[in-house]
Amino acid sequence: MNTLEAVAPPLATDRLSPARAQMSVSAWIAVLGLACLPIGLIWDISHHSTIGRDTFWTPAHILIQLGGIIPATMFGLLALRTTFWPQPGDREGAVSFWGAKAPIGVWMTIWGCMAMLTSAPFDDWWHNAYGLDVKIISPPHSVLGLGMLGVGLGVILYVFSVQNRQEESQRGKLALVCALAVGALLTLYADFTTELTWPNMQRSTKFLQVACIPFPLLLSLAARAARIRWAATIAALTYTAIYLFMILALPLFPAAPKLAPIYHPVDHMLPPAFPLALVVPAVAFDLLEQFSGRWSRAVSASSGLFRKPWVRDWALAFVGALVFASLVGFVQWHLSAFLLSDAASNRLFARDGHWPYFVKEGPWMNTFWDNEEPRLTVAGFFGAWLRGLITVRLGLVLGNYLLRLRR
Amino acid sequence: MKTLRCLVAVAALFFNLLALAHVGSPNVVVEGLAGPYSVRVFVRPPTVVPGVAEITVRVLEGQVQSVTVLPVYWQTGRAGAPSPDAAKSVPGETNLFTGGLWLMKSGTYSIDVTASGSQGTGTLVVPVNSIATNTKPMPRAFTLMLAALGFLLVAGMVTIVGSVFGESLSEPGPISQRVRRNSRIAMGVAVAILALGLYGGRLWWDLEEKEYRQRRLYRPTLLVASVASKNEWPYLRLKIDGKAGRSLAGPLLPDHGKIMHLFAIRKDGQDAFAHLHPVSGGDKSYGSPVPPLPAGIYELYADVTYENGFAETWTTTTEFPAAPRSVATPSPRASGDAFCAVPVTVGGQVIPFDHDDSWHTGAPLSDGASEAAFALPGGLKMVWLNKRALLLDEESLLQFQLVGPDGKPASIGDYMGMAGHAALRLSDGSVFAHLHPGGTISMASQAYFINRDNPKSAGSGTNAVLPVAYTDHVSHTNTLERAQVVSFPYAFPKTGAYRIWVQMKSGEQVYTGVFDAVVEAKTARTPAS
Repeated sequence: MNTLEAVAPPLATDRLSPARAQMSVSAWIAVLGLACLPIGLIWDISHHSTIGRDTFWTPAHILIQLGGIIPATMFGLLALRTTFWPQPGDREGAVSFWGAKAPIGVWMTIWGCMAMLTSAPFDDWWHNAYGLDVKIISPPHSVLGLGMLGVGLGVILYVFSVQNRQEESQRGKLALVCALAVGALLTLYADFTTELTWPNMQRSTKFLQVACIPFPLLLSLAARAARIRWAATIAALTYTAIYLFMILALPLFPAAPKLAPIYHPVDHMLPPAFPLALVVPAVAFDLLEQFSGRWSRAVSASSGLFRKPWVRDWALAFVGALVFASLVGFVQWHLSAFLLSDAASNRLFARDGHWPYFVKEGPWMNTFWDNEEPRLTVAGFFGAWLRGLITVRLGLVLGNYLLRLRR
Repeated sequence: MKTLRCLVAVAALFFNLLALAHVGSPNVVVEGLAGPYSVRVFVRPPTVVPGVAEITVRVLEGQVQSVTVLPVYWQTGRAGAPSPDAAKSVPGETNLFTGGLWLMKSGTYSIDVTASGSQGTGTLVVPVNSIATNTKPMPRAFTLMLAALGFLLVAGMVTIVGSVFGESLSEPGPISQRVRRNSRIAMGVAVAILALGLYGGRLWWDLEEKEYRQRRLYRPTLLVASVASKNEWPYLRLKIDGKAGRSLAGPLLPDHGKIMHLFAIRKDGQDAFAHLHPVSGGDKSYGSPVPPLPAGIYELYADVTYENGFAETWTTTTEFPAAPRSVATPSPRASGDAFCAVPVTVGGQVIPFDHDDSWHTGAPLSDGASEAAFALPGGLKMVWLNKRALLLDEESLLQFQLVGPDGKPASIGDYMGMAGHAALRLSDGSVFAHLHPGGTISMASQAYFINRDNPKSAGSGTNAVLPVAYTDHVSHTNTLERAQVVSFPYAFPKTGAYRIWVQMKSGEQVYTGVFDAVVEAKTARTPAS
């Protein structure tokens, strides 16, 4: 926010108004399409945990595919229009790709969708060669994951470029779309790290170090690049809302395992585990970014070391990583104890209600796994902070890039 | 994750026991009674785990309206089974049903086949081994398609990176030289990073492949055999080959009264055959006297069933010495001679063969099919009643009859709980199977799954409750016995020249009929059987 006016002046000409309105609509559609990915993934995990048997055509799989197909199809049409029947302003916001023209986010999204589609036959062959989903993390699943991330990044690139090209009066609405898009991507990352962030692990070094990789990057990116006051908080709230919705909605549907062996009978779709309280560090990131804006204005005319933006960003990353690791470590330390207690045995917190049919019930469900995942130590905290330092700095680099994005 | 890890550990432990019942013959064929209905069940297990087992149920007797199939895992039993799946009726057929079931874990499953109709409902328990056997490489056309898609993705990403660091940051208008240069540099870096990523992906894939081949892929259990003199008689001792990465980790169940059924086949010509029943030596080894057969290299196939119902065949080769000259039993004579249940003595001392041991010598394997009738001692003969062209993967019912000197069917008796046994081997040794009138399954494994959820027999193995299916099997055998025809359902898994040894008992004598057959591939012109 601090440098947006300087590097991305709006294209304020009346002839571009209809194109801008269309861009705004397409940005909303792209973000709604992107949201299908994390929601479909949560649904799919629930399907595997509850029913087990699946085909390519399960509703969850279709929703995931729609997450790629909706934005990619819309963007494909946009690319055709920009290439062959450009409207005023189309070409100004486009890059060349093998002779065709469209915004960079369009090509990234189409690439992601292509990777997702490529993963399908590869994954099918993998199942026939090595067995179905022997491991969640496998080479074909990685191609699928890269495709999803490609779609997510593409949508982010597109909505931020649209934000930057909007008139000043419209930028707030588009900035909200940007924050929501980052929230969808945040949820996708949270889905990917499900098996590393169970409440039973949240007092461990491993958990904090895992949490310090994706989340600070996206939160700092949102706070820096979305032209809205509480962008990181909105992104974190989006993630929280999606998870809470799925926690409350999924168990409404009766279902039973269709594969043997069943170690743990279930009679309804299982919810995901309670989400991380990312809202807390997100608020801190927004406050830090607001401070950063005031700070940059105060020192830009000075001759001190901090007059250079990259030095200020390193300082911000240093503090941001420390704040993130401290807040997440502290909040989850206590929240996880609550989530594993009897008080959490209800629909909202779901306590042990998320464990799949193929694991045996036992006390392990509601205890910390200290033997497997050693408790957080000072050295472990330092390692988490170091990871956070790199990812926050990377988030700021990407945020600065998004602020300068014109096409 | 404690429990998850425990489950993985248990699975890993059990996986060390995995091997294939029979050799090169994974498909399961069972004929038996599902309550009042006679059915034949054909199961084609998946070649990977998890994978789908394809099931075909043919109703042989009775009016059946519906058939369901249920997967039962050895560890969790029927309490851990989902609701059964309805098998689909094959269009145009009145007695044929098909279905598919996911086998999710390595180990042993039972497929409970339940038939319902006007005479009520009945279930046949079909044990199936769930193991990974697939080693097929990726098809070339598929490889090329993936490579092309991969190239497109890499080229596309390089182009996108070039735009990210170049054109995407440019104001409307011509692109400056500086931006173009930055773009080219970024593309070069992207190529290097992607190349590294692809190389890392290749290493990862290699690791996955290695892990699959070392830990999950079925490896035959090999035996170490040795022959030593014991009381002046050669004595065979068998032990699991520890160097091959296997060790006997679980106790065995007796299958029709024997802890092990050992088949010895002379490698040259397959002209000598023995069906022995070694006993435990107390040190995880098994032993049996060597039968008085011609000296030579013998291939050994040992059928065993673990306490969890897993049936497998251990294999090895060894050299049998010639029988001592002082053996007080007739030496092998003309083709068709068989010796069984005849006490073998040396110097007045009885050699401790099992009373159901039997052996045979005869002519070597022929290139083509043998005659349908096989001459036996005492003027008897064994007749292959429905001898005809055999086709690959086709459900076949091999029917045999023992005929007396008077040309009428001879009376056949109970031979280890059933009317007959058969063993077959492909000429190159890549297929070996031990068949019963009930099919290819281990009866002990079937009994395990029947008793698995019966509280009266919990933990007592096969000695507690006589399994229903076993009763069915015996009654089925009795039906056959009345007809004096012994049938073996089977589907040949490979083309080539097979030798089939069929054993029946009449009086106190076990008779071994030997038949050669050629199995051919199905062609478009092959008439339907």
